[in-house]
Amino acid sequence: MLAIFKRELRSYFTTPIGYVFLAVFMAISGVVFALSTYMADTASLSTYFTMMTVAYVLLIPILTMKIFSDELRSKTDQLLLTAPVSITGVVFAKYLAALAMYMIAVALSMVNFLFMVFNGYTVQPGIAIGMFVGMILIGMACIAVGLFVSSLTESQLVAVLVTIVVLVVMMFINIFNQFIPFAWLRTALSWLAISSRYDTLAAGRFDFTAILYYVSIAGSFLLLTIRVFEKKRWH
Amino acid sequence: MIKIEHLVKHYGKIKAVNDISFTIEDGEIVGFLGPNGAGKSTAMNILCGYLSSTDGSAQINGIDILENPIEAKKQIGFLPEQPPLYLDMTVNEYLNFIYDLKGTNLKKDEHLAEVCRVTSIEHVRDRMIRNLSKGYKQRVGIAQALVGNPPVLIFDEPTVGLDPKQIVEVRNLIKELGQKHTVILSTHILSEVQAVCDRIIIINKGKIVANEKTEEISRAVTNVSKLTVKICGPEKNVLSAIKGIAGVSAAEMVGRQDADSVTYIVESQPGVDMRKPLFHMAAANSWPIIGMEAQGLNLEDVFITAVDEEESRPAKKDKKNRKGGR
Repeated sequence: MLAIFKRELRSYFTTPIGYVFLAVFMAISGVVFALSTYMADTASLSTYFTMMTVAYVLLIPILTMKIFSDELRSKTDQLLLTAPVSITGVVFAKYLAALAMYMIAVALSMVNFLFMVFNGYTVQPGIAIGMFVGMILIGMACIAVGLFVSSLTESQLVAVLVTIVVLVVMMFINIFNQFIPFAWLRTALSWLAISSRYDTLAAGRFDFTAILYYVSIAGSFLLLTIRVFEKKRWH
Repeated sequence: MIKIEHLVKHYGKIKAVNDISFTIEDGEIVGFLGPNGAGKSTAMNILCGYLSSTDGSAQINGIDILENPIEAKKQIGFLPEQPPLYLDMTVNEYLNFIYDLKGTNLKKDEHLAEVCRVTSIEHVRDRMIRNLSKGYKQRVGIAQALVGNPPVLIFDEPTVGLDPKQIVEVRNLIKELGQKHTVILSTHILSEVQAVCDRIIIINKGKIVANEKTEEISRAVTNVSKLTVKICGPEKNVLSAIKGIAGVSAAEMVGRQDADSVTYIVESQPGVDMRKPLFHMAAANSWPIIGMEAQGLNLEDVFITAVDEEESRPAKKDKKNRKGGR
């Protein structure tokens, strides 16, 4: 399992994908940060946080598109699935590699906060840490979605596009609420929407239900991915 | 020992593998032979734990692949139809990855050096896999299967797409590996199994149609009843003279390759050796024989007969294709 994790992480740097991801992530976070703080002349980070989560709709698919699609296309999945490792091990190793890559990007983007400090704004460390945790949590959920989509197709292009669509739907499904006359459906949709959990995290507050929510989304999609490979075996 | 019992695999309504059973002893080299789509790859994939079976069981050294997949997979080195290579790695990095993936506990440097020596890829160890030729990629694929020194090696069409020289090299390599490992290989090239394997299992439409020692199949092959003869002389006279020899059941002219010699096919009654009478007849007429070849049943005929018996429908068109193909 460690071997797969290492190879996966390494592959981000032997192909352009890792660099593209880091570069785009840094560029977007820099611009968004500048727009939401300096330009708006505020030290509040919640706009930055919210806008970044929206940007994940584009960023995460770059990270996850190749995870399984590439293996399926080059038939190396046959190598992994006939090696003495469990399917769960393979899926988790790959997930953790993508997550590690994502955490590197988030950690690097924390540089933005330093500029803020140098410019005389005060950043409350508690809020910054809370946001970091929040970003990791949302990333965990989104990467699991991307991983799942990638296990369904040999084509990276299809994986990217479908992941974007699924993430958009998951993030913004509650905007339909204003057209829905049924209260129960509105409640259900806002409960499902990823964006509905932003607020507490964006304020940098520790929210147990939000953590549970993102972790269970990640868990569900990881389970689905494992099922995809098990089903392939059993089909 | 590999033990397959009543293995069945359905893809929807299609029965890719339909109730096959066989046993392979330690140290045997067994060839899976069958036309495309016969179920060879499916059977191999089940044996390696990539696919599951609909029914039946597959055991490797007493370990059931479904009940205890991880232990069973440790017994197997598998080369799929398309070698599973990461093109963005060097051969060395790739083999190191495989070593870790399989959780091998042999001495790493020595073991990998040995694997590279056996497959003769030592001089390409630092090259990127994407830059290797097809033949070398195939060898890296074989090297990958050898890592961890598994007792059973399974090769799915190991010589497809290689040039004739590489084919010979890979076959010799497989023969060499067969001294220390149990080897199963699949192919639709008949001379390959004859050259390499101890035993041949012929599969068609998901069923085993023959499971014999190679020698036994070869014995059937040497039972000559047809000769191809090339004789210089006037066609009509030669043909009627051939037909006049006692024991000849049929003779026909097949064609003329050069100015003065003509090729004939002579069929004899069973158990009669036509070669000497043919010589005497030609010598008496002073028509030089410039070529004679036992046509008999070759392995392809054995194969096609076995498959035809199963299907009961004659497959003459197939026969032509297969002879011309490859």
